Order: sequence, then structure tokens, then C-alpha cells
Amino acid sequence: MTEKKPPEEKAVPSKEYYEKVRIKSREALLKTIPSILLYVITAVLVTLFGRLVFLPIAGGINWYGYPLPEILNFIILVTLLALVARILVDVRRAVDAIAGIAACEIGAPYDVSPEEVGHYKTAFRGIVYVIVVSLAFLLFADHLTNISPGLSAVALIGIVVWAIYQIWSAVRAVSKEINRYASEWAKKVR
Amino acid sequence: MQLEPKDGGAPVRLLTKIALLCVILAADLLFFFVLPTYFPEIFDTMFQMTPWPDDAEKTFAIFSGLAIAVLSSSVIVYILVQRFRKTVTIRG
Repeated sequence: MTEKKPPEEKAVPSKEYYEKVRIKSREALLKTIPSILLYVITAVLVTLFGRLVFLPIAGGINWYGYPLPEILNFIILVTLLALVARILVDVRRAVDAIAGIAACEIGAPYDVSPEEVGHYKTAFRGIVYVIVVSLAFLLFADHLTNISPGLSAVALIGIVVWAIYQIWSAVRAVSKEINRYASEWAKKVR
Repeated sequence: MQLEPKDGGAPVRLLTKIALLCVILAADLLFFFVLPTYFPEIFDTMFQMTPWPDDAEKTFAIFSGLAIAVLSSSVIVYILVQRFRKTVTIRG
């Protein structure tokens, strides 16, 4: 005779986890937003000063046989790359924090699981990364074209393919959450 | 000594720092933007007066000018952002 197994108990999300996610997310957001703001403004200033002030006066000057505008373009490009890399690191932290807050606010009170937070993180990361990288490309496009016209086109093709993949994974994460909510709602209706 | 005003505004030392950085930025932009655009002869004469080759001088000047402009403006933004963050943390 086989004994009937007791129904599996659904893991109850703890109040502690909810509070931890909430507090950590708020702290991370407070730390990262000023940093993002600073690096974005610095990147814009580097571009503006470089393009409007220093590149025009560098025209016609050669440094040890190399044209100065190209050297300046290269320096500006490297600086922008470093700044954008730093911005992306901070944006990742900020997006994770926003995902944590969203999971706490959108879901029922104290009903937040690590899986749900993970889905929100994937969705937010996908969308925000695509926006940030597209904006960063606008900063780089002219400098890339000045170095070699083909570079800009190759970078754009790469960004488009990567953006499609990011959006696809964001949509998948959101659809998993919608599925979860829909099945919970269906259980309540029955 | 840092003088903190009672109304919660920016301390005097902070304002002095920002003012000093603004003066440096303004002087830098005046030299590298206004002078070559509106008075190119004066700009060129300044480089011709020195004994070194013009291109080397201009290259050095342009590199240092760009560095000064970016650094001074970034530090101004950094100070303002830190101040804003402090205000938000205190009020929040």
C-alpha cells in the first residue's frame, strides 16, 4: 500500500527578505544616481569641449608628423570609453536597485521572491542597457567616423543585434512574471 | 575653518572652491575659444613669441587646455552633486 504524500508546502516569502531588498535597493539607488549623474555630465563635457573648442583649433597642426585632430579624437574616444564603462557599472547597480523596489511595490506586500526580483532585474537591465548604449553610440559615432568610416557602421550593426537580444530577454522575463500573476489569479477565481 | 550657515545653505569654503574653479574654467575657455575665434592674430603671435616650434607649443597647450577644462568642470559638478546628495540624505 502506498502512502499518500502530503501536499507540498509553498515556501512563504519572509518579511525579512522583503525588508532587506527594500532597504538595500534604496541605499544602492542613493549611492549610484549621483555617481551616474557625475559621469554622464563629464562625458558630455568632454565631447562638447573636444568637439567645439579644442578640435577646431587643432586643425592643421602636426605632432611628430601625426595630425593633432586625429590624436585628440583618439584621446577623447578613450576617455569616453572609460567613462561609459564606469556609467554602465553604475547603471547596472541602479537598475538592480530599481528592480528590487519595483518587485516590492508591484507585488503584494511581503510577497517577494528572489525569482521575481531576478525577472524584474533582467527586464529593467535589458531596457535600460539598450537606451544607455544607444545614447553612448551617439557620443562615439562622430569620433569613430573620424578615425575610420567603417568603424561606425560595424559598431552600429553590433549594437542592433545586441539590442534585439536584450529586448527579447527582457520580454521573456516580463512574460514569466505575467504568467505567474495570471496563474495566481486563476487559482483565486476557481 | 569651514563656516556652516544656520539656514542650511552651502558653506563659505565650498562656495570659494566653486568660484575659484569657475574662474579657472572661464580663463581656459577664454584663451582657447574666444581668443582663436575672434582674435586669431593675437593667439598666433603669443605662440610665435616663444623660442620653441609653434606646433609643439600648440599641441602641449591644447592637451593641457582640454585637461584643465574637463577637470575643472568635472570637479564643479562633483562638488554640486555631493552637496545635492547630502541635502537629499538630510531631508529624506
